[in-house]
Amino acid sequence: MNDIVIDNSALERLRKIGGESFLKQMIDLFLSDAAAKQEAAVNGCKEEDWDSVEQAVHSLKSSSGNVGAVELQELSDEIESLIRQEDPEKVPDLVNQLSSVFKIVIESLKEIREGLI
Amino acid sequence: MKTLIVEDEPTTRLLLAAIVHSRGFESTACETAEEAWDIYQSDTYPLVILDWLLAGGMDGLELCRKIRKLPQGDRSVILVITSRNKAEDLQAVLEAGADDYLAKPIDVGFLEIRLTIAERQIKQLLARKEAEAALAQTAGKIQQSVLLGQPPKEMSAVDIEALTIPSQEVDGDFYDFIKHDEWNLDIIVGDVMGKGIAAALLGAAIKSQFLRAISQLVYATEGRSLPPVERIVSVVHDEMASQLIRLESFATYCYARVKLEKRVLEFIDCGHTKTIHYRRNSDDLELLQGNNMPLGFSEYELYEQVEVPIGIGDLFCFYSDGVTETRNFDDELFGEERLADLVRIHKDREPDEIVSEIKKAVIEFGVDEKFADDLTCVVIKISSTEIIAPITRADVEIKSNLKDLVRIREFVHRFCLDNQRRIRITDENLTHLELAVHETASNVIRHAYNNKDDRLIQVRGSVYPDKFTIELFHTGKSFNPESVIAPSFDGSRDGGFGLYIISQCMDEVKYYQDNLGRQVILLGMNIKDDVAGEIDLDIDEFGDVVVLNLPFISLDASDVADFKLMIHPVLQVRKKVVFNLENMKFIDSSGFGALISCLKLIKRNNGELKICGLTKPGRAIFNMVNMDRMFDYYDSVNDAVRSFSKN
Repeated sequence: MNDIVIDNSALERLRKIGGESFLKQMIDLFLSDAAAKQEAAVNGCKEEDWDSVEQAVHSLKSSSGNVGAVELQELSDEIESLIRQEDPEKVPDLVNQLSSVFKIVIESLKEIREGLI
Repeated sequence: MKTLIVEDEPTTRLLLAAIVHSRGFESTACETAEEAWDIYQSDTYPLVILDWLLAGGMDGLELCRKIRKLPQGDRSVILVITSRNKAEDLQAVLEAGADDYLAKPIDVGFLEIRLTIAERQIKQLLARKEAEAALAQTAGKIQQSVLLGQPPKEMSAVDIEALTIPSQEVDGDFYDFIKHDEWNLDIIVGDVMGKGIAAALLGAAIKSQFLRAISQLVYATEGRSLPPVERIVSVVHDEMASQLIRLESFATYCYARVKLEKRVLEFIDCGHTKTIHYRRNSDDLELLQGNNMPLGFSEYELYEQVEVPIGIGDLFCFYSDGVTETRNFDDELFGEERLADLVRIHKDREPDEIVSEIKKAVIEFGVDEKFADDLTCVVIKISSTEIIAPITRADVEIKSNLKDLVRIREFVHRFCLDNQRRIRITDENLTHLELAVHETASNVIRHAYNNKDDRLIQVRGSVYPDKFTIELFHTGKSFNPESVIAPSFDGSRDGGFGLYIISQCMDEVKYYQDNLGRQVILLGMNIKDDVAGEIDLDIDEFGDVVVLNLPFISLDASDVADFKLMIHPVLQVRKKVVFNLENMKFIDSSGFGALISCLKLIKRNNGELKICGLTKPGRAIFNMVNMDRMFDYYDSVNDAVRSFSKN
């Protein structure tokens, strides 16, 4: 599954920078921090608080990119762009998609994390 | 290399820190711009990596702008990370003062490239800063030695202290002192617009132009007179004004000349800070300000010096605007009033103490000890000791021709006779003096001028309370008396006698160069204590007859006031008086009038006045104006004394 949502070459770059321990640190940090951002995006969307959604996806875009979660990164970027263009019509659908991808990313990363020494 | 990372997204923050560490850099990471601002101010970070969009009130670009405004803010390379990638966004990044940017999400490969570029920039920056610091240090030394002159230490009647606190940069403050002689001192204090090497170079150019103008003008008069202040300033204006206009720069300055003999300060101010003058006599302060524009404002400027009377104990405080424009924490200026108050409070202290008090006050007032502008301050005090100016002076100029030596001897002879009442030179000493001056002038013609007979020698006689001097000024070769071998008195050598004679004849012989560049030979003879100042009367008493042995070689219009002052008190209390005139060789109509006034005075008191010791020629002159009808003459003192007992 992680072949689809996680870009392994990104993980490899992290491993090169700081070894297995750094890779673990990065995944742990994503796992502990990203859920709050995803939740903030969902809540903001429900309340049509687009600023909160933008802030949440802006952060998620960076962090997902850092761990190779390419699809999550692209969705975050798309949502951020629509809000900046003041065109939030499609945002709720995209946030739903983002939530689905997010779940898969979390599971994939957990699986990768377990495989690390 | 210390790196400050400012990123609110935790994985990016961790990633940046890891990459930076992998290159061997130390890092401090923080989440908000506010936190980063505090950290940055407390340490030095050659590299700052910051996110544009940050949680909290301040974004990354605002932080960037704040860092650049700090004095040390140009010592960091700033790399902005941003997901904004439109041209106008990147323009905003650069305008905020950042050196580079990197698009988000972070591509590690690109980040590495950016960090390599940043490292290069930092190395260049450090090298530039080191070079700037070395240059500033050199420039500071040059400024101290070239722009800031040393006050003359050996002026007996003027005490001077000068202070400079250099700012972090070199700038164009300058001052100088030109001591023309013991009684004339020029002070130039100026400030060139702007800072840096350019201002310092202009300051040095202006200062040297003043020195050049003075030497040109002195040369034009062959050292006979001091060039007037307004003339010096005009010459400098003609040389410099158009150049400064072309360079779009200007300088403010004031040029002052202390003239002790005349007890005035001549002054021209060209837009400089107001000079503070404390007047001891009236115990008040005046701020001196002229009407001229700064040098470089206008091609045409008419300079007219003003004269300010000075007295013993007066103070002058010259300063740069760095002093009065020092600001405190409340952004208030130190100002003229505070400075004037300081001068007033410390008016009884010496210049070095006053300058030290000013320095202390300005440092305490300012935000820190490093000033934005140079502080210069010069305090001059007309000292409370008596000004040792000559009582009288006379000058003559001769050509460097051996035939003219007789003129110098005549001048010396006449000068001594004219001042005999004060110097009371004996015939023997007068002969010695004439011989010494003759030998000296002869040496100048033969050795300093190599027998060229078209050069000039100025000769100046001066009488002081305790000595009189003859100075010879020439522009020939300087002379070191120590290089001359002492004469041989066994007949084996024929040289060296001139210097020996001079040293034997005189109490004081000095060789030096004056401030006008002339070689000076000073020959001095002390006035014996008992004749220094007011002359004591030489009185002999024979019973109730008093004989006044008058010391006057001449009695003319220049002497009669002193003569009366000396003699009249005796005539008021004694009734039998003899004037012994054997020393007197010259008398004019005023002298006759003075003798008649003495006769009238003693007759009012029912006394008698007789005269003795007249030479034959003197008697003839006395008779010419019928003095023999008023006075009884006697050949000798004894005859005159005896004449009273016959009555």
